[in-house]
Amino acid sequence: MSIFIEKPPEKLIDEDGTRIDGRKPDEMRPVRIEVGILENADGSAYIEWGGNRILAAVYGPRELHPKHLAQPDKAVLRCRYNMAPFSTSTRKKPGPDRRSIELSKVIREALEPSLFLHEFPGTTIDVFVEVLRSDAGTRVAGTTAASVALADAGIPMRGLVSACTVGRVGDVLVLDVGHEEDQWGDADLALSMLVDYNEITLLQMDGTLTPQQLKQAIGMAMDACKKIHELQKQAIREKYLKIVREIAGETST
Amino acid sequence: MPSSRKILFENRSIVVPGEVVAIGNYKLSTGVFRERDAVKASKVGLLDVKGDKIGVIPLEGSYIPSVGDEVIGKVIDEGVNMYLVEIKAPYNGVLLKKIQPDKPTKGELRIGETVMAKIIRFDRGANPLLSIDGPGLGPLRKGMILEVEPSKVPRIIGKKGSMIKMLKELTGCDIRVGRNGLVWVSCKDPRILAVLAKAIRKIELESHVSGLSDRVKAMLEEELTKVREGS
Amino acid sequence: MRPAHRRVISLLKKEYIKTIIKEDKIREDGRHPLDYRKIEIKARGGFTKGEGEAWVRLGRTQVLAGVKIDVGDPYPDSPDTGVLITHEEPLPLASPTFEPGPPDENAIELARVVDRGIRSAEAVDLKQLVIPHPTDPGRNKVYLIFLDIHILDHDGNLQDASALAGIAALMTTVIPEVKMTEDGKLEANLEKLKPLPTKAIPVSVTIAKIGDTLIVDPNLTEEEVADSRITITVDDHNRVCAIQMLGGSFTPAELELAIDIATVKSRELIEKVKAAVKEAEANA
Repeated sequence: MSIFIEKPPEKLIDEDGTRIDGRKPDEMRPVRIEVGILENADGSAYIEWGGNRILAAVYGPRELHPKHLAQPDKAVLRCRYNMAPFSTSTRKKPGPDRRSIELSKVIREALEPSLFLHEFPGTTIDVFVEVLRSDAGTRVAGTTAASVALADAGIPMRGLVSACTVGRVGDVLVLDVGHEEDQWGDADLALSMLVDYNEITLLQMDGTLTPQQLKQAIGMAMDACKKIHELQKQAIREKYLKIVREIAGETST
Repeated sequence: MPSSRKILFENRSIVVPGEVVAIGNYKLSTGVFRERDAVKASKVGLLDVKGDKIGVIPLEGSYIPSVGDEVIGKVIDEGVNMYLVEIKAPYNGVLLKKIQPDKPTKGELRIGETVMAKIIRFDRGANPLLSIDGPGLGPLRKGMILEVEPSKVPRIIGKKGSMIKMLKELTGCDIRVGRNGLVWVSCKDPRILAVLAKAIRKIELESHVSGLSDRVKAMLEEELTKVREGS
Repeated sequence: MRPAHRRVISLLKKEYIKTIIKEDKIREDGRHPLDYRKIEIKARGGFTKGEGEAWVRLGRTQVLAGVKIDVGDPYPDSPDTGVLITHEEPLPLASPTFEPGPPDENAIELARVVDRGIRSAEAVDLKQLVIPHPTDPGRNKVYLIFLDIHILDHDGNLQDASALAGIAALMTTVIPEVKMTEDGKLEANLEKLKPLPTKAIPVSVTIAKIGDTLIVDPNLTEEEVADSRITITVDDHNRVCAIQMLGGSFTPAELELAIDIATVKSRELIEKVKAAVKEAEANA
C-alpha cells in the first residue's frame, strides 16, 4: 500500500508554452557534475540533473572472473544501473528488476562505441550507475555521468558520450522531460551521442510521435547534448583546476 | 604540409578525451590518436608538445605492464613451477620458480609476501612474465607499502630522480618506487612514515600544478619539525 | 564469484601495523589507538527521496542512509507497534571486492546489528506509530519505516558509519499525518508533516584488537590484519544496547576495557549526531 499516490495535474503545459515546472519547451533543468567523489573506484562522477542525484563509478580494466567470460581480443564492458530503495516516492524493492536490467544494457551500449576496448584484451571494465534520487531522465543523466567516470578512470576513449531526453505534451515537443511530463506526457525519447563525431549511440522512444515530430525531437536532443558535452568537459577540468585554485589561495595568503 | 599545422592548446593544458589538440601531420606520442587530419586526446591529461611530437601525459589510468619496468607486487598464489603476483594491473604477473639445481632460488616466497620484480615479457591479453634476478630485485621483508595512482609515478620520482631524492634526504627513509604505483618505504619512526605518506599523497593530488617540489618540501619540513619536537 | 586473491593479506602491511602498534602505540595513518578518523554527517542533504536521510563520511568510508515511510499491517504478535525494517547494501561501486547481487552474510549482519541497536534503545518510538481505526482496533494500521543503508565507499568500519547514518537519518525523518476513516480508507496529508518520534541516540563503537592493543575505528587495512573485532552500541542514556563480536577472541579483561572505551567514545559520536541533526533542522 502506498500513501504517495500522485494525482495527474490538470494540464502539463500552458497556452503560452510554460511547462508545469515553469520551464519553456526548449529549456533544460539545471545540471551539475562533480568528478572523482569516490575513493575506491578507479573513476567516479556525481550528477545533479533537475531533481536527479546519481553516482557513477568505474572499475577497471581488471581481471575478469570467471575467466571464460573474457574476450581474447578486447575488454568486456559491463554495466549495472540500479535504483536505491530511497530514490523513489514509494520505496523501491532492492535488487534488479526487468527495467533496471534493460537500462543496464542500453547504457552499456550507449557507452561502448566511445571506448578503445581493444587496448585491454581479456579484461573487464565495470560501470556502476547508482540512482540515489530519481526525477525523470535517470538513464540519460546516468549515461552522461558514466561517460565522465570512464574518463576519470583514465580509460582511453574517442570522446565523451552525452545524453538528453525530449518529450511530447499535446502538440508541443519539450526538452529534458520532467517528472510530471514523464508520468503523464504523450511521448518520451532518450538519446545519447558522441558529440565530437555526430554519432548517436542510444535512441529509445515510447508514446507516439509523427515522423516529422520524431525528426524534430532528435534535433532538439542533439542540440541539448552539445550543451551537456560542454558541462562534462568543464567538470573533468574542474577536478584539477580546483586544486590549482586552492594552492594559489594558500600561497597568496 | 607543415604550413597548415596548428596546436590548439597551450602546452601543459588540461585536455579531455575527444578534444582536438592539434591539426596536421605531427608525430604521436601516448594518450592521443589520429582522426583524419586531427590529433585528439584519448585520455584526460596534460598536453605535452615536444618539437614535432604530441602526446597527453595522463592524469588518470591504471598501470599497463611494459617490458623493463620495475614493479612491486604481492604474491597471491603459488603453483608447482610459478608464483602468481598481483601488480595492480589488469593482468597478474607470473614469476617462474627456478628449477636449475646449480642456481639456487633467491629465497622461497610466501603467499602475501611483497616482491620487487622486473617485467621481462608482456603481450596484452596474457600474463606478464616477471623476474627477480638483478640488483635490488627480490622480496621486500621489512617496511611498508603505500599506494599511488600509477599515472603519478613519474612525479613521485621527479625529474632525474629529484623528487624521490628530496623525500629520502628530508625523511631519512628508504624509498623504492614500483612503476605500477606501489611505493615501498622503510623509516626508523612510524610518525615520520605517516608524514612521508602524506607528502606522497600531496604529490599525487597536486602533480599537475607547477611548483610541486617546493610545496612538498615546505610541507615536509613543517611536519617533520613537529614530529621531531614532539618526541 | 569473488577473486580469491582479494583476500590475500600483505604480510608486509600486517607486520608493520602490528609492530608499530606494539612498540610505538601508533597506527599506520599516524592515529593514536583511541582516535576516530574525521567524521562528517550531512543529514537531509537532498541526495535522496527519503523522508529522512544522512550521508556519513568516516575517513574515506562513505555510507548513505535513506528512510522511506509507508503504511501497512502490523505484525500479528505486536498489533500496537509500528514496523521498522533495516536493510543494508554493499554497492559494487564501493569496493573492488564487492560483487553485484543480494546482500551477503556480512551485509546482513551489518544491517541486523544496526537494527538491534536502534530497536534495543527504542530509538524510534514504535508505539506512537499506530494509525487507529476509529472503532475497530483489529483493523488498525501502522507506519512502516524502511531504513536503507547504502555503502558507497569502503575503507573499513562500516559498522560505525552505518549506525551513525542510520540514527541521523531517522532523527531527521518527517512523516505525513495519516488518518483512517470508518470504512478503513486511509487519508494521508502529505502537506502536514511531523517528526518521526525518537527517544534515544544509539551509536556503535567498533574496536579491533591488534596484537594486545585495542584500537577504535579500524580502517580497511587494520581490519584485515586485526586479530579480533567487536562492535558495542551505546546510547545517550549510557546504556549498552547491542554487542556483536566480528571474529577472533578477547580475554575478559580486554572485554571490560572495550566496554569502557565504547562508553567514553560513544559520547563523541553522539555529539556528532546531535550537531548534524541540529544543522539539518536549522536549514529546514
